[in-house]
Amino acid sequence: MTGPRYGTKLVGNRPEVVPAQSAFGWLARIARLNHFTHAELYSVLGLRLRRADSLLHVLSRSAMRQATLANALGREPDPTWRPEAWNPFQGSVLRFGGDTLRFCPACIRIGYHTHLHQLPWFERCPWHSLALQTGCHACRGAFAASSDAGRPLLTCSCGRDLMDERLAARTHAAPAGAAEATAAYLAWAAEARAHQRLVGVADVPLTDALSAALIDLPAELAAFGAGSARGRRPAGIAHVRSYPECAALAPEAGVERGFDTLEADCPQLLELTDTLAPRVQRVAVDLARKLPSGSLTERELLLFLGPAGTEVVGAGCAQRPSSGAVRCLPPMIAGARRFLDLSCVHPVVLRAVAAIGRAVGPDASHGAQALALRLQEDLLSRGYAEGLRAVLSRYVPALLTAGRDRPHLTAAWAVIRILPPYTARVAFTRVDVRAAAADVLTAARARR
Amino acid sequence: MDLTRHPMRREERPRIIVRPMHRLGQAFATALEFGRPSLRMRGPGRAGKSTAEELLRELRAWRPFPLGFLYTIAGKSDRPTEAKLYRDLALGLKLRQSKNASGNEALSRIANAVEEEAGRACASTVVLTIDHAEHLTLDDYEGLARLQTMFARGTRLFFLFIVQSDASPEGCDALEHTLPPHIRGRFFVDKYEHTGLLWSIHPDELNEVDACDVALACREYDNHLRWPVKDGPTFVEAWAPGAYRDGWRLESQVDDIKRVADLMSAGANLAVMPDWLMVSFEPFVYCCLVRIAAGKPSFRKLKDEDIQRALTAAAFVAFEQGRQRAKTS
Repeated sequence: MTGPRYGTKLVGNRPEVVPAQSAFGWLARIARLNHFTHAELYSVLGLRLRRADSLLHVLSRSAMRQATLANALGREPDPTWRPEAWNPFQGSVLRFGGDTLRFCPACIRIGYHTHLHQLPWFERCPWHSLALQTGCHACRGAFAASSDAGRPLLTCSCGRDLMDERLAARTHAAPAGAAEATAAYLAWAAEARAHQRLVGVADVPLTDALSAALIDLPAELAAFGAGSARGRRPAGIAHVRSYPECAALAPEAGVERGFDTLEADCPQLLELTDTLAPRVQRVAVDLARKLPSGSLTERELLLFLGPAGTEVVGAGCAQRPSSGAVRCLPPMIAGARRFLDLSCVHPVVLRAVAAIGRAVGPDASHGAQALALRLQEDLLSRGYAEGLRAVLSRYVPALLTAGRDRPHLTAAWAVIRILPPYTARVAFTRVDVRAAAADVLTAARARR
Repeated sequence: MDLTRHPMRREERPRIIVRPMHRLGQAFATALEFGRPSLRMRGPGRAGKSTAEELLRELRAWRPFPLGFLYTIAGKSDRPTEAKLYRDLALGLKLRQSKNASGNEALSRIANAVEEEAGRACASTVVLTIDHAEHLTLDDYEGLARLQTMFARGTRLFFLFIVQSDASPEGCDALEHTLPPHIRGRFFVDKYEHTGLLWSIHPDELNEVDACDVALACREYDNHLRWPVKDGPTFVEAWAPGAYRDGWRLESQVDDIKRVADLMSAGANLAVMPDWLMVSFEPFVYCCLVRIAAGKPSFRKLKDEDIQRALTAAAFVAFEQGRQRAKTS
């Protein structure tokens, strides 16, 4: 009978008990059951860490530390230790759940923590049906996830211990359904990742609420999802829009790509396509009609309302000099071509529109491109409407108290399916223009 | 029949279950059934104590209830401390730890290892075997008592001490009479004397078996160990087919073997012992079958010279000299 070599055995090193255990989960379990101090994480496991490091953060991002931990555990690094393996999409923001420890109280009690619990689109543990938690319910403090907390991992400063060491050591089987649920989710995520793209801009962080609103879980896990699965909009989300299959969205004869100019650092003018021009014009007309009488000058009204404006001109025009800034807002006509001055559209919107184009790409199928174009037009129209309100509110203060029409800015994140059936889900979140976006604008101008 | 891949040619040859192991199993099961905290298994060096315990771990029939098993080795220290004891035990359990782990950390680590084994085996009792227990000191037993007390509820920690009775001139249990009652009551109540293969039937087994331990062990090779399939030829049949056909069995020559062994012992000025150390029995069988009988169609039975050659190859005399502390020439 050949046993393990001397000094190689670790209490708790039983993968069959903790299927798809996260790297942090492994470290916490091993450190607790073997009573390792910070120094021993290096001297025994070989993990070089700073005391202040969040182990959850470090171990979800550092491939080298993952490899070291795997070596200490006597196996190959688990692909599921990379957060990317859990994403049901590809995209620029690939890592979720590396910042705040999120756990199922029943799982963590036996030293089991899987990255599935970190995913914001899950609200409850799929096998225990318990609500996932992020902090101590007694004192609302955070549980120790680093070595400098002055207390063992997974304990709170109030004394509460998430893990029951004896139970963790004694557990001889994984929680019922855990292996199946994690395997089913990983298979679904891998399949979805091949044809779903996450699109957004880095200026607006992808919050947990946003991502929860974007992801539709498979039917067998939908009951454990956050918000969207049960028709409830997560907090912090202004609007969620779903796009159905795109076959009927665009004519078969080619997709017009008119947003290439947005790829520039600071785009000034956009030539409107035949489909976009009437939509933009309609936005301008709708807003102009909603304004109180006497808000715009005669010349401004004519520009906003177009030919239809001749009927209302004179009924109630503002008695002030016509503003050049306002006159630039409506689409400009030059012969048969129409242009939009992009100065009123916030850069966050422009970057999101451009990002959609990049995510789908020119090589994508016709259906995917049609869907992307539809999304881009919708985002630009929405951004244009918001920009109009923002600029006009300086001349029409009544807009500031106009309920839904008061100036505000929303930013969008989208998940687009680029294979049939072509679908998309877009979630909008409000952006504080003065705090966040203005900084971006200032920075952009400085580079100009 | 191609015997190049026969199990007897492997580096690790098959081990057989012999009567001393049965006796150990019975003593073990009795101690467990009666709720005792420990069992001391004593016996001379090279008698097969550790191997018997290892084989028992693999067998289930003797267990009175589900059991978990952990195995560790006691260290010998000039300055025994509690921390050193726990670190040594953790090392024996093959647990990874730093060189300067504190005693409490090592104790907690061992406790968790015990709990883990209980969970793995779905058992509430975990047997912690401590080999070379003759090295344990009074302080060490105090430490073990502390470890055992940690499991007062839920999990039962049972100690199996493997003690080499001839390890020191003063005896392995010389410490017993100096121990306080709570230690003596825990760790020195149940004792089992382990022997090699007895040349005569054990007095307690007269109604149970029809032959001595050596004969029963030979019978395993004659009748029970088969290869390559369950109903294939026995080991003796495979290596000495002609003799086996003629009715020869290894067991039938136990008296011859005993006679030659006694002569060799007498020739080396050794006392005739009541048992045969396992360490030389198995190589003896190996030599008889693989070196003497194999490939000889004319082989019909072991001659005295053959037995002597096999006993010499198995270092029978050398091991007996070691056991009897005889001077070698």
